[in-house]
Amino acid sequence: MLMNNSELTLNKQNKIGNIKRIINFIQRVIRNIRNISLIFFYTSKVIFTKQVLSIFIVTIIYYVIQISQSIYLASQIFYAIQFYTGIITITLSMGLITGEKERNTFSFFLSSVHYPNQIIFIKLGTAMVWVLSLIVIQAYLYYIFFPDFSPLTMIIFSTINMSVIGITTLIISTFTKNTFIAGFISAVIFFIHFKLLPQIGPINIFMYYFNDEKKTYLPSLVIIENRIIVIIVIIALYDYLIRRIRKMEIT
Amino acid sequence: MKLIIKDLNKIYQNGKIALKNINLEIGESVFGLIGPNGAGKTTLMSILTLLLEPTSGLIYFNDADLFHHPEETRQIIGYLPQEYDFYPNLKAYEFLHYIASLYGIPKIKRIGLVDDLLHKVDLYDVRKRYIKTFSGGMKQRLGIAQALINDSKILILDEPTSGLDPEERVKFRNALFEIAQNRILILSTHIIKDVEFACSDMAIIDEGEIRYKGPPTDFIAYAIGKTFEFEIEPVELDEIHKIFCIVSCIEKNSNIIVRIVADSKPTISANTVEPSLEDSYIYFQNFVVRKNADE
Repeated sequence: MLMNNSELTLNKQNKIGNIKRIINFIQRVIRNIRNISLIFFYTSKVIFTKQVLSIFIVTIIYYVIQISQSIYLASQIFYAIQFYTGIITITLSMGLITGEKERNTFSFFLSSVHYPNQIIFIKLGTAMVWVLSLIVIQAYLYYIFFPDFSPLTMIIFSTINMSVIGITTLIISTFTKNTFIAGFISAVIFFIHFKLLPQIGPINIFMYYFNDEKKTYLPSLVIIENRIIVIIVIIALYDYLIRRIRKMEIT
Repeated sequence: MKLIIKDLNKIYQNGKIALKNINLEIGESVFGLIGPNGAGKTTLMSILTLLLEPTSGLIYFNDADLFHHPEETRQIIGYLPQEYDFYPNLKAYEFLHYIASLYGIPKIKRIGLVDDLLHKVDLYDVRKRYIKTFSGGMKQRLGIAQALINDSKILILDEPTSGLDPEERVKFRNALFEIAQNRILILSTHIIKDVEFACSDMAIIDEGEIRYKGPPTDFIAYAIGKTFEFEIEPVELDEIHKIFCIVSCIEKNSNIIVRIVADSKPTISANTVEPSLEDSYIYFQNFVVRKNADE
């Protein structure tokens, strides 16, 4: 059926309207990306204090020595990666809240954001981006030495583990005003967690995957189930953290 | 523009009563909130900035309940906490850009806004310096700039001049006047001089209760005819301390000029002097409040 002139004009206007909406949407996305990048850049600048940088460097040196001197097996390197990344995660996240409390800027920070959980997203998100970058680098280095191994599995496993450590550190830091106390308690919990890791039921299933004698490196259903349990733990911890932040009385 | 606080109460979890039935109406100007340490000023400020929930009571801004619209409230409130230390490893302009980006202000608007604010608080020339190199007064002015970044209609400053040297305090007070145009500025302080020189309206808070509300000029009237000055010898000072409510002592030659507040003339040689807000505050706290409590 042929369209008359007014229908053609209407159609054309609709198309122009749609294009405009798409352009507006793209512009909004670009603006948000720019804004998030800026927040990420400045939050990183705030996080990387001299103390954090020194711990970072000392840990890297320790890590390199460990790897080069005494580790030959896949599981040992895997453990070293977990340990090193765990320490870095604690270092980066221990001051996210206590640092603000020490500077007495937590209250103004909370009043600068629309929702209290925004501050957690911003700060923990920034720390986790750095942690994730380290995990990715390590996973691919690991892949060079052990080509049968999937770097993606290591990335997913480590990211989930480090999220638990990061959120736990943040929860601890809501109870104290001192960054190093928060870091110390988190490190103790992490160490216990690290030592017990292979012995805890559902986690043990995953550890089996890194057994050197095991030749099949494909993720099985039990491994996926285990990760789902850990993800549920992360969500529960995150929810508790947000409720803690909301409940925190400043004075 | 009006901020109305109605029957506000705050009882902490440990049972401490921080605020008792606070009722205030604050208009567009610099409003001074005076009170001794622990009077409840910071609690009231924290409630106004939604950092703390009141036990009961309501707060309205232009007829809108602040607690029912927390997101909108955070958009209109700027807050400068008491004794803070901004990120030392950021430069002044970086810090303001950071806060602006947290508020979601787009780049085009942000650049002009940050420059304007830096000019307003007289920090433009030092914008590229690290915050750790700033003096106390410069940090306070930077704090004001951050509180203004979202063009807040209500600006809350908690003890902003404590720790500043006299010159910085004067500079800061002068900046307040310009900043207070077209907004409600609440200045919480225990430094009476700040209220005397910067505020057109004030309230006195003590033990969580509002003891006085009105203009500073009216408040001064409490101590008219009740403020005296007389000369004593240094050896008499201890005795005078025990008897009178001393506001200040100034050494003159080998003697001391004592300024006191009292209901009646203390000695024949004492001169009645014009009271300041500080004299009135001392008189009010020591005579009026005590008298009311006795009744």
